[in-house]
Amino acid sequence: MIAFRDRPIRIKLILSLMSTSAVVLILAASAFFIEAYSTFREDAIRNLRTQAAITADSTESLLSFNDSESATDTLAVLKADPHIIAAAIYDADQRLFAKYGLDELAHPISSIPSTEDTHLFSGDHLETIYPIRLRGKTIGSVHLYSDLEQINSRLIRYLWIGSLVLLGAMLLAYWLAIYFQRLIAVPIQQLAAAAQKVSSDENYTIRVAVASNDEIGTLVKTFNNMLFKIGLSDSSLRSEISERQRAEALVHKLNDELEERVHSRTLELETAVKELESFSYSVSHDLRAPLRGIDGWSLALMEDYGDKLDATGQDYIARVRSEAQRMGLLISDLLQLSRLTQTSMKMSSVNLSAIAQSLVARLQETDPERDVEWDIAPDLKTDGDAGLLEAALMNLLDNAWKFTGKRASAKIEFGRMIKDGQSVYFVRDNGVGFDPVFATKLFSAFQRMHKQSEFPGTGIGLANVQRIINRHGGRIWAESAPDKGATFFFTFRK
Amino acid sequence: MRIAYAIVALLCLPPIAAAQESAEPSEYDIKALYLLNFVSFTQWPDSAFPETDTPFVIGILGDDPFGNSLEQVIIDEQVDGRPIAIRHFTRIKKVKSYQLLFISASKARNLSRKLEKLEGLPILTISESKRFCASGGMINLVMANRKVAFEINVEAAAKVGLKPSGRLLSVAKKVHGKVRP
Repeated sequence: MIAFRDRPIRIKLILSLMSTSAVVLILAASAFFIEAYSTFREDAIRNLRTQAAITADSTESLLSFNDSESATDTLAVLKADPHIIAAAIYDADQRLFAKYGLDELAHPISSIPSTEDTHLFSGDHLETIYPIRLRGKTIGSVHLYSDLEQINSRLIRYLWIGSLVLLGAMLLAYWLAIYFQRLIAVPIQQLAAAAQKVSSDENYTIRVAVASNDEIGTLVKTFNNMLFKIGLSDSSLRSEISERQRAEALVHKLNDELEERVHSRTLELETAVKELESFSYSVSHDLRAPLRGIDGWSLALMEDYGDKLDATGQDYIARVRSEAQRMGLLISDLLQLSRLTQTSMKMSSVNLSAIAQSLVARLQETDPERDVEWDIAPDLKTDGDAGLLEAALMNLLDNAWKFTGKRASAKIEFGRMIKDGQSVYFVRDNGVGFDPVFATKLFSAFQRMHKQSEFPGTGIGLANVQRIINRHGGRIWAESAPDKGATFFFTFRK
Repeated sequence: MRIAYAIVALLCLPPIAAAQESAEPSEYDIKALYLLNFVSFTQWPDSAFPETDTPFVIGILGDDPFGNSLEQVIIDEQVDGRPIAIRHFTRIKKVKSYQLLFISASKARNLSRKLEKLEGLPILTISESKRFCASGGMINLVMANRKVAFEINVEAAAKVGLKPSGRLLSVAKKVHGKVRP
């Protein structure tokens, strides 16, 4: 059973109109029947009382002169009225004087004092009592008993008519309800169907016909208006969306092209770098042989003809040799730089503290006279290539040793600190330091902060260190100020 | 409902003992009542009452057979607003001082002669002797089947302007003379 509120408006309208009509009709009919019933009763009472009055009048003399036979005959005439089922005349002392059909009556004896002009309904009959008067005194009474047939038959006839009228009226009400519900339900149904279609097809060009000028008409107009506006904003939205999609596609395309270009450039660059590296390697490597020649032959010149040259000549040869040796150093550094970029890394757990200790021992050996305060933090371990990391530490410690050379009390430190949750290793010295303006230039190859005569070097060391640290996924940077020492910080991949 | 009616009916029934107590009315109780009833069903001419407050007089000629029955009957009774009085006579007087004359059995001889004396007077004559109506009397009380009945002479009544009602005639055991409309 569907709840009433979930039924279609059409059914609701018909049902409400029908039920209203039914209630009104039934109420009206009930009032009518109650009125009719009381009228029927009053009619029956009045008719019977009139009959009783006539009987009382015509039997007055018979009662006066005790003629019960004639009275009985008079009562027998009442048989002409089929509704009068019994009659009786009582004298002033309540004695039965004459009777008609009284013995067949279920409740023959009146419960009301006979002298009263009255009536009562008892069982299935109506009893009317009318006094017989003579000289202003009651000398007896007429009792008439009527069946309720005339009331009942009229009532049944009225019920039949009422039922037929009710049926007819309900049919008419049904017909009218169907007619009127069309005025209300059909536009709403159309509206609902249109709304459903709009929602399913997203077609905003649908319009509902305005059938009336009432609230439903207003609703339909508003609906159409709303659809029009939605249609407008929908189409503009759609064009906007397509425009945006076009723009996005363009951006995608450009991105792709850019990536392609970057990729090809990277490849080109990589190729160029590789070529350059192999070039520098082969150049360095090939330069060694003539350099060895220059060194060898200058040594031979020194040894075989040194005594034939004056002091100036000897000095020139010494300079040639020194420069040749410096060039050899340069070449080996360059080769190391190439190797660093070309060889693959062998990863393992590396004890940096141990490496640093052995390096310090080696440095101290080169000049046992120097008094340097070493502070190497113990047990600093990381994952990496042991050879490369040793080379990097070697460079950093060598730099520190070199730039503290002129300090009376040199101090060199290797340690680790935690910064922003990351391990940061550092090598710190109290040497000559450098101008912080050059802090970023330090790590480029062949960049030198000091004069060769002051602090000798190739300018490749820190470039190598940076390359090693970068290959470990880390970062290196330096902090310093002139004459305040320098600190090199580096990290590894997290 | 029916039970309620039955209870009410039982409560309202007249007590049976009381009904038995009331003694059966005697013949003259009934006849006394009949006298009054005859008056009720008869119309007198206006000439019967000289004054508006003239009482209705019942005359009794001869021995009074009613005892005090008649007096009992007329208690609280009136005839058209007139009080009722009873007078006793021993001889017929030709006067208008009464409206009804009961001639007792003791004076039932020479009835024709006696009634002639009342000729023309609006007096309802009543008796209880066999030939009363034949002798020109108006109403004669008779016994039939141990019940009091009467015969009536409408011609005699009509002659003096008395009009016995049709109802009265319909109850009469015998009607003498012809009824003129």
